[in-house]
Amino acid sequence: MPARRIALAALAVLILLLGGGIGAGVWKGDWQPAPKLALDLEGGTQIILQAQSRDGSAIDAAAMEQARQIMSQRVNAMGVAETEITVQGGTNIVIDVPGQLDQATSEAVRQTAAMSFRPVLGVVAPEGSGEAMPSDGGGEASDGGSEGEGAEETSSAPADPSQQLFDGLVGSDSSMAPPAAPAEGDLPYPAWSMDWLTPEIQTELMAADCVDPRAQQERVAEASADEPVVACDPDGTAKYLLGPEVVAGAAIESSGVAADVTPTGQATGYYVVNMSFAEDAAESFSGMTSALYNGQGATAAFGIVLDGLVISAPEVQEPSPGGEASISGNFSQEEAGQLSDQLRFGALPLEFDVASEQQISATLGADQLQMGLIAGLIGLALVVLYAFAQYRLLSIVTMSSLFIMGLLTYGTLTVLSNIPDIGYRLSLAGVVGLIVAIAFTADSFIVYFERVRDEIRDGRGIVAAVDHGWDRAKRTILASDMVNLIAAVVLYVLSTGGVRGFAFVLGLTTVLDLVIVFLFTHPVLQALVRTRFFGKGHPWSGLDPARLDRDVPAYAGRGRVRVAGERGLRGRDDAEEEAREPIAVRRARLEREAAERAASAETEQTASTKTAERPGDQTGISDDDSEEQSR
Amino acid sequence: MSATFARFGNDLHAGRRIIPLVTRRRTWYLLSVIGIVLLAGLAVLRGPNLGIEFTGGSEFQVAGVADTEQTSARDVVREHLPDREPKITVLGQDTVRVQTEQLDSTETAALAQDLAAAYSVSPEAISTSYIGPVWSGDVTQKMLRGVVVFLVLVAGMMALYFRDLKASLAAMGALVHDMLVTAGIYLVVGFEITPGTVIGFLTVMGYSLYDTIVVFDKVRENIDGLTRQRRSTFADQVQLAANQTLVRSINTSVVALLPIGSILAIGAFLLGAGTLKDISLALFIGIIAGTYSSIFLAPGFLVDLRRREPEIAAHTEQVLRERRGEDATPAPGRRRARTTAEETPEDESEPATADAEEDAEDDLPVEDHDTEPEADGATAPAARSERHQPRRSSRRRRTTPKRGHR
Repeated sequence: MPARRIALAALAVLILLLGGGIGAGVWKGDWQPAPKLALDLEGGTQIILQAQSRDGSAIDAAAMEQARQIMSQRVNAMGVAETEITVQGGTNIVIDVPGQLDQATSEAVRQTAAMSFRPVLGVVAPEGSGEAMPSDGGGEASDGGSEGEGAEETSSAPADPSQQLFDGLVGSDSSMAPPAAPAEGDLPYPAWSMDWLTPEIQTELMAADCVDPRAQQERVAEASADEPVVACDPDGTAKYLLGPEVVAGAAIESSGVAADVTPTGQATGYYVVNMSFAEDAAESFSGMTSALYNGQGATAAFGIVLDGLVISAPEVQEPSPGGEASISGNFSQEEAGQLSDQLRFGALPLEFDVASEQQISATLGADQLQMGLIAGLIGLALVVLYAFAQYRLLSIVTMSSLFIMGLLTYGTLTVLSNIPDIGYRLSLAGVVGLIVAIAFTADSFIVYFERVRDEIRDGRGIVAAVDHGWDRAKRTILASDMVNLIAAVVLYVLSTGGVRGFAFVLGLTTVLDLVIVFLFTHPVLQALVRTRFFGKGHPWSGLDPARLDRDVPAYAGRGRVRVAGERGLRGRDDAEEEAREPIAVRRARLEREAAERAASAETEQTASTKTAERPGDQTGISDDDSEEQSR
Repeated sequence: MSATFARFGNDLHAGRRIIPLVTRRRTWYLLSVIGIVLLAGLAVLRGPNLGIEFTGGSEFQVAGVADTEQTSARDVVREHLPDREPKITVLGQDTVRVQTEQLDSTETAALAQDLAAAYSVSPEAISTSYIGPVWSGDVTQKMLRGVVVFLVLVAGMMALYFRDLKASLAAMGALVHDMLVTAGIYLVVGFEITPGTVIGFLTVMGYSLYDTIVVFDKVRENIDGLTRQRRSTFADQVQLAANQTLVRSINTSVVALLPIGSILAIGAFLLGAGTLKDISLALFIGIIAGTYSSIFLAPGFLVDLRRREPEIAAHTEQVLRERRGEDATPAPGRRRARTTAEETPEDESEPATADAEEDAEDDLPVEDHDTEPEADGATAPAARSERHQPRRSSRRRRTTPKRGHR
């Protein structure tokens, strides 16, 4: 089986696989038979958030990915369907929402995800009641924790209003014993001191409403690190008064989940979350835990604030000297995992700014898609016409290759957009990329065809010209496609948003171009030149040797001048006459000529008579000859 | 048309017609330099017309309006933002675009509502975008980084592919030319520069190299075995290659320009502005510049970079000397060896080189362009042409009857 059949068969299998895959997907699953459209074609909202490093360090991909996950959690919690959140261009998070974006979602994604550790100064009931504090001292949910190394805390879970707070507020003037722990930075007094309980903050505490935690969330997120804040827990079951930040979440070096064990080493069946801090933060953290443990704080608990919500407010059961701590609280593995993830996310030194927000109406999108497609069709038609003018019926190869290209591209994009993990969406820039791809694909054919024509001009037979031309052209095509691929990859990695679709399509079509040139165009051309029409160089075949200056499929060797001008003028009759020359006859003639030439080479050596050199070809005297003579 | 074009291609291939791409390379350099200097001068006067993505701001597009008058938009915006004048443009046939300073979400929503009311379209027909201040800096920085990364990667790839650092350098030189010209035209005409423009710009870089690769591939083929012959110099062979690939370059460029032109036409006239126009305009300009540079500049750069290499310089020297007839020692042994090697018509050992050389030799004499002698190796064939011209024509006369007998 010739190589060309294998290539064509491989291509057929590829197309069938793509088609079959899509068919099966549509039939069995919820696949769409067409590529999904991006927002600029479908209408919708796109927000691009840009990460900024809070401490000037480089932003790494893992941090961005975590930020993305947290952001999806937030948005999904808002119940917005089909929102897509992706990391693009290294430092951007792109949020695509079909249709209009409601206010709440918009705010949810804008929020800064920052984590901090603050001592709890008091806990009250969530209601934003005026004054009266329920002082029922609802049970401390802190007994679950067992001993472990480092700080041992209990979970915050349902951290009800507690007696301590009530006491604290009453005795706000009578501050606790002077702190033994190192004073925090430039704070006037330790973060856990009752001195923070100014009348203003108490009023705020009373006024705040934690039944809907979101209301308070933003204020906390915006609050300064060296001020006390009022924060809620995520379920709206408690309201906390927290001191200034002792340790920022960014200082967490690692966090993980481990099985909880009793002091005797027996598993309790629960899980704990372990975390460790960076060096200087560890000092501050252990300062806080020992102060809280020794009863120097307003309460013995500290709060972990993420996104303006108190995700955990464990009570210190043991000071943590080494910057390592574990939080226990009868967590299931899942709960512990979630808390651990939250801690880790809090460790991201990232802040997000809204870099751009676009809302595209569905009508505009539809318009643009329509125009893009019209432009594509016009472009395609023009290319086909031009190819026909230049290459006559050879342009059938161009057309069918472009058609196969269209099939493959459509299939690939459809598959990519239906695979949830990839979720490709065709943007307007992608449509432009597709149209430009028509140009680049057609260019490969031109490089190839022109190369073949050159071989014919140089005197090869058509079949040989195709094989030789291919050997030369394929290197050129490979190199050119390589350049395009590099361009596409660089663009893709560095760009963000809709224009990224262009780079993607450019890269994809470049690869497909190679597939098609190797598996389709070349095999088909090889097969075609074995037909009479192309192989004999019919005037409409685009390979007509007469038109290419060369009606004799004979090789003109060195010093042998092809009288191309005359041949071109002689026209078609001669060409056809030549073409009808049977192969056997031709071969015989060529051999004869070769022999004559060899003989003449000898002559050249011995005698200097030039005219005798070419018995079979009186085409004239080449420069070679004239030079020889002049010497 | 195609027939004459085909004949043009045949003539170029056979060398009956030679466009002095290398011979007159200083002229082409000068043209490009003048062009770039002019563009740069005008560009400095005008300054770039940066799109909202680079300057930051808010943009509203009201689609499907019955009447594209701009006053109502202006009035609406003035109500909201009394201090600053908005930039209002009509896009395509029925879209009004309003650009303002950066507005927050609430303001944006309010202004969008009012605009919808003013043009009596539904609020859903309004597209808004907001570009924050960080974005612009980021886009610019990424673009620069993209250009640098691309250049480095591609220069490396080309050097590996051609196994010749100088070919890679020459291609890069042509590329820089294309970038300067494209950027210059953008600045001078005052086209809006958007991320789409940048994408187009980067793609053009790829395309420019594509074209140059086609030419240099042929060059590589033609100079294979250069030193084993004495007929044509390095510059002659490069010039021949550039001529032989001329038709290909024109064809690939036309074929690339056709679809891109159609997007450009649709994007510019029917839609007015946006991604379609931005990408295709940059591509359109860049491809034209790229075609020019790959034909007129890259071969010249290559010759200038390599002609001082000892081997090539010596060879050129020798060829020129032989042409002047000073050194009449042909290398008979070598020549003979070659002749025998190429006897078999289907022989595949360096057929192209042989052809190329042969071409070089029989085209050069017919070269009939104005032949001003330059102190350069590449001009020698031109000088020779006068000598051989008559002989060629006599040969033609002689041959024609002979052909008929066959």
